[in-house]
Amino acid sequence: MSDIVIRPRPAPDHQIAVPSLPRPCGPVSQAVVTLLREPATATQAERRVRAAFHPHLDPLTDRDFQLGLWCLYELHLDGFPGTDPALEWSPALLAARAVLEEPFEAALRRLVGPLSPDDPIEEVRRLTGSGRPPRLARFLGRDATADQFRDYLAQRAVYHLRESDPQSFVLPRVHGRAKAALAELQYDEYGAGRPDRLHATLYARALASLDLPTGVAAYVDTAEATILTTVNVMALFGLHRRLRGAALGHLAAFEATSSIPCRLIALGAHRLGFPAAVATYYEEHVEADAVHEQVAIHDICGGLLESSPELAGDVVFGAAACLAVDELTATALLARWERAA
Amino acid sequence: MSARADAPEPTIVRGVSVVVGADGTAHRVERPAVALCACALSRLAPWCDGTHKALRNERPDTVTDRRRPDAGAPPAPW
Ligand code: FES
Ligand SMILES: [Fe+2]
Ligand SMILES: [Fe+2]
Repeated sequence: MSDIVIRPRPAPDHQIAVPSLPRPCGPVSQAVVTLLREPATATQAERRVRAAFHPHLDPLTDRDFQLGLWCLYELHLDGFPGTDPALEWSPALLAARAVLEEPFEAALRRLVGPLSPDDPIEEVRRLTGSGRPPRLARFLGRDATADQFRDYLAQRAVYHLRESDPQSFVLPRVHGRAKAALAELQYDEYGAGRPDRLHATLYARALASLDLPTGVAAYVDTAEATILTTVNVMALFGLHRRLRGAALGHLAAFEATSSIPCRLIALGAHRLGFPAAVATYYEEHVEADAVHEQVAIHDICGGLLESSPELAGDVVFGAAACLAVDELTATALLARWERAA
Repeated sequence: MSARADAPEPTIVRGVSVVVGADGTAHRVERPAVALCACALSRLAPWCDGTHKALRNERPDTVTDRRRPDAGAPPAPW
């Protein structure tokens, strides 16, 4: 028998103090966290969350609002350690979610403004057709310091550690060509049969190579408002059958604006001499998302609209919302690094 | 910046296990669908890497020139 003893590596400091519930940062998230701790009726929950929400705040950039909503969506994903799993379908928490979702969706529709859904596929192609890389990817590729690049990875972790999961909620709600194409795309996101190639796992490996934690919980308390907005948009679209067109339009825009930025971000990782795992994640997406773009626009959205042409407006709305929220995030992250500089 | 009708798009191919590149090199297919570069500008050839979109930002006359094999180095979109 071997004498080799494998000792677990001691966890870095920042992994020790991860609480089982996020730290509230205002009245909305406080009201939600309280609902997660203590039972309440639907009427009480609705009243409390409504009282905490100030209608003059912009839900899309208010961290308190987005954190409250994020906690409610988390019940449908991994949940919170130590809380009752039945909370996922508790009338109180569903009522709280509905109170926040209404102004959230309204704000998204205001943000994108009027849309032209006459030729939705062409419109999605037009919205995503630029070959010019966006400013955030350019900054990461050329100028970001090692600290800023690490901060970018940490900020985006709340999404990439759950990559593609919100879109899986849509699978049973679409049919035929759209279903087959969405399943194909998701299969690729989920490693095409190889667990070590799951995109979320590639991202976890990139984080681990920089000694950063690999669980979502470690990143929520420091995530910018708009970072939470990006994941909440996907959850809103993914969890409502009514919004399946928006979910797939969002997916198409997301995939269609990924290859060129990812190539630049990978170059940034090489420029900074980061471990190979970091560039590997982005290089996989240069190639994969060039495929996913075509599949998502033509087969997934095209297939959906073939059988449900009435969803044209939703598909364009989802795509425009993806791009507009991306812009908000880029602005927030560049400002964050400017402030810190 | 609307998409130009004649800007090339990659070809999506399913159900093959090997793609042979223009130089004769065999590339194993590791995903359920692959996008084959149709613009000759990809740095990941034979796979598309999104570079074809740069063509849509250019004027039509330069697009034609860029796509001739003797037109020199591919344009960098970044
Ligand atoms: S077709 Fe996309 S890079 Fe050539
Ligand atoms: Fe991915
Ligand atoms: Fe993708």
